[in-house]
Amino acid sequence: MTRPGRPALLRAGLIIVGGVLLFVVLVGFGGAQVEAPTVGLAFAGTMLLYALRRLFSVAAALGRSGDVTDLGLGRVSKRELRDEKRRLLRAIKELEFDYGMGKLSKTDYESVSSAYKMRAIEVMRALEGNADLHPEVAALLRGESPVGGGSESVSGAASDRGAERGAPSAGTDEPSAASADAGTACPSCEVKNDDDARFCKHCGTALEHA
Amino acid sequence: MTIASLGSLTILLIFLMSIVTVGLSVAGAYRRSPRLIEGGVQGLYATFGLAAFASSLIIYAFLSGDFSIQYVQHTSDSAMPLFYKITAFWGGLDGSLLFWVLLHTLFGALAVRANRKRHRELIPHVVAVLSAITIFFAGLLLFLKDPFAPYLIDIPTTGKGLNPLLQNFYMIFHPPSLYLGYVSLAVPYAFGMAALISGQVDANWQRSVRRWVLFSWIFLSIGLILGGLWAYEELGWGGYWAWDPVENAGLLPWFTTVAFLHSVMIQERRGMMKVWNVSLIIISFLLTIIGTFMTRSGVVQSVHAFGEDSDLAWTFGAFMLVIVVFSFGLVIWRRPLLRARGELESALSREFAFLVNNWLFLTCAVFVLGATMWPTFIEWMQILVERYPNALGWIDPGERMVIGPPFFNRYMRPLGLALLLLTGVGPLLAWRKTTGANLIKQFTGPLVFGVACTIAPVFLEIDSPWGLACFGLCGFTFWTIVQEFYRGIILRRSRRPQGFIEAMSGLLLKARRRYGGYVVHLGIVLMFFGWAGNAYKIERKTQLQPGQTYELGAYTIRHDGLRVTEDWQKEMITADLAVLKDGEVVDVLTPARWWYYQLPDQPTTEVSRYMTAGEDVYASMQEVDLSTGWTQLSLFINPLINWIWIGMMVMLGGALVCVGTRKSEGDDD
Repeated sequence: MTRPGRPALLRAGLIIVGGVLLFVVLVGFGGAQVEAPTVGLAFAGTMLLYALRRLFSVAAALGRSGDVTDLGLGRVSKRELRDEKRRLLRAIKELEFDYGMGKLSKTDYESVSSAYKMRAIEVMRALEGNADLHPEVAALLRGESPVGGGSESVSGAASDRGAERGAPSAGTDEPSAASADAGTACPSCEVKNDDDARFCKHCGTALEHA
Repeated sequence: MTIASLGSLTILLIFLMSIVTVGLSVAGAYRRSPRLIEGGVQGLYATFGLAAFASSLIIYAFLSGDFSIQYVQHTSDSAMPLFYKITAFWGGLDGSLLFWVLLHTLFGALAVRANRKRHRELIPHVVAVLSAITIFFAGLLLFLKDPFAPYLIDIPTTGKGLNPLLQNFYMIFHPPSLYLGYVSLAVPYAFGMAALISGQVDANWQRSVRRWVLFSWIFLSIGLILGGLWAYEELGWGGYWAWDPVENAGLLPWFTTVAFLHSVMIQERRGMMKVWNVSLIIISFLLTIIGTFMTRSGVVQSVHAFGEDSDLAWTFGAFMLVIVVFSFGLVIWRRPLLRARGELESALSREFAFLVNNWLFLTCAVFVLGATMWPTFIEWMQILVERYPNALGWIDPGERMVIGPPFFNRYMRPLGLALLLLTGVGPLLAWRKTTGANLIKQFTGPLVFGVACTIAPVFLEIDSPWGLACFGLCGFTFWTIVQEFYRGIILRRSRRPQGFIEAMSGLLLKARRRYGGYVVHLGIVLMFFGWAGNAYKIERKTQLQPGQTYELGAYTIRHDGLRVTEDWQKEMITADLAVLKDGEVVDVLTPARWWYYQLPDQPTTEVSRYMTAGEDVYASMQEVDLSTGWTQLSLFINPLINWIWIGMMVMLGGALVCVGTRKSEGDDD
């Protein structure tokens, strides 16, 4: 029941290919006289079969005993979460770009971007469970101050906020927001990365930290 | 069982199946029963299957020349080329309604299939709304316009044939393309209504429908421009757009979808204008129904209307009323959920520019709709006054008048130029508010270039104020786009050193919505550039005998003689006109008149033109006297006209960049 679309499509494809082959054989080797109306009739017949098949599925869907198959009403699916994550990351990128183009003031950029990032972190947590949290966020969640990595000002701001709000996930947005200006350049492709990044966000090269 | 009765039976099944589907979905949503909801979804697919079967039956009837079916007999004959036999399916009223049902169910099935995992809460409502629309159209087919209606006595043995005017390359694609645009707008409408019913009115549903709206918009654009090309090449009056009611009907939802595509960005960014966006979707859908109503019921006089039919008019009227009450009722009911999060802070902001853009587009739509319907309103008033003289005797509705192209042009020209100005200004403004320094930085380049473009044509002896304004605004907007690209490329290169081309393709691929949008804007600029040419077009009517010459602008036209030819379908008279520039023959034009044997009293005009980037020399033949050789010709010089078609291609390219693919969204890392 995971992916009902694929085999059905495959089967339909095979039937069509088979039909075309049969047609070619009949015309090419059997010397059959095929005219446009014949093709039209064959097509109409295929459509009739399709319509009947669909009508049968209605009956099959209704005939299924009880409401066992859970369609997941009222529950957020993983797919929705993945979609939202993708959209949020995209929105953050777009925002960064807008800021770079001077279409957004700095305060605006920071407030909107941190809101997006908070939501992105929430979504990612929901997606992966707590196991895969960024070490810094995990540390913040436990109420400790972050270990290593970030520069002084950044981690300071992060832990302040975390303490204030009790919503420590806000911590990570500050460093990357600041990275629009500052950051370490990747040795191989020269893209600027966050200070605490271990790998380059563009080419994936491991970054050295003193 | 004949094809006719089998077809009618299938239509009855479509009608019943849609009712069942609505019932299943509503019950499923109400009782939260996955079984019933799944049944509804399958019912929607089954409706599509049945519609596909009915359509293939009518195509088979055309191919086999089954003239016992009235519709087939009216729109085809056995001598027609195979391709036109198939396209005759949508050549008349009844068939085009069946085609509508086919596309509607197809789009519904596709949309539900693509979104059923993503928006589970919405799906049963979407299915119900879509099927309710199917009920209406299937009901029309069943009770009023059965394409399978047979001749009961005196079955004819030959067909009447398709109108030769419609046997044209553009005509194969123009109606279906407009149709695709029209019908696909039902999907966003269904999602909007589902969002209102289920109360999930966040931005989620709009992200799913944005792509659909864009898709509808692309097809509407293709349909409109193909209609323009058809008019230009087939009708022979030297123009491409005459504000014909049916063309207008295609333009109306085009305006509102553009408005939606812009204002949805404000909602995503700032959480504003939620009611407005839902309303735009409702209005767009309503306008497609109004468009169909105008085209199909014959209430508005037009070259394309299918003739008067008051039953159809009343049915459509009632359907529109139901849509309005249902949709706006839902909006009012859900108004508390649709409250805006942000508010407008400055008139010098992107939001405000979008807002003005929306007002202008809506004004265009209302104006065009009003002016198109006005003569009909007058007529209705006359009828009412006649029928109830006591109650309404004091009203004097006046005569039914014709509102012609000059009226439309007078008002649409400033509106269009204002929109062009916004196209240039909007992208330069910042969100929320633009600071003074930023304003100077952003506007200097475009302003200077715009002024230069206004002044330059004066030296080419172009003095029409509208033309100059249009050139200036084109320059302004063009520079805005160039500047946006340039700055984006600089920004990308400052982040990571890369080549110019790489940075540019990076912009188009990674920021595809924005830069795709700019490419669309570029197309619009080119189209306006082409329209500006209208300000100094040359139009002449003349009579020439073989050997005579005529001065047309910078060209000389020489009549080189007449030819009479015929083929198995028609008789043709062709004139050879040499086009001379500076004494040299640059091209030979061959305008012609064709007399189809089936319709000898309706000769068609075959246009011939000499195309260059700067202008078209365009000739069509009006009257011809074979004994004396007198040929009455319409000659035109249409400056810059080809830029309209080029702009159209650019616009579509940009729109395709915007649509992108779902996968590439994921690659956005």
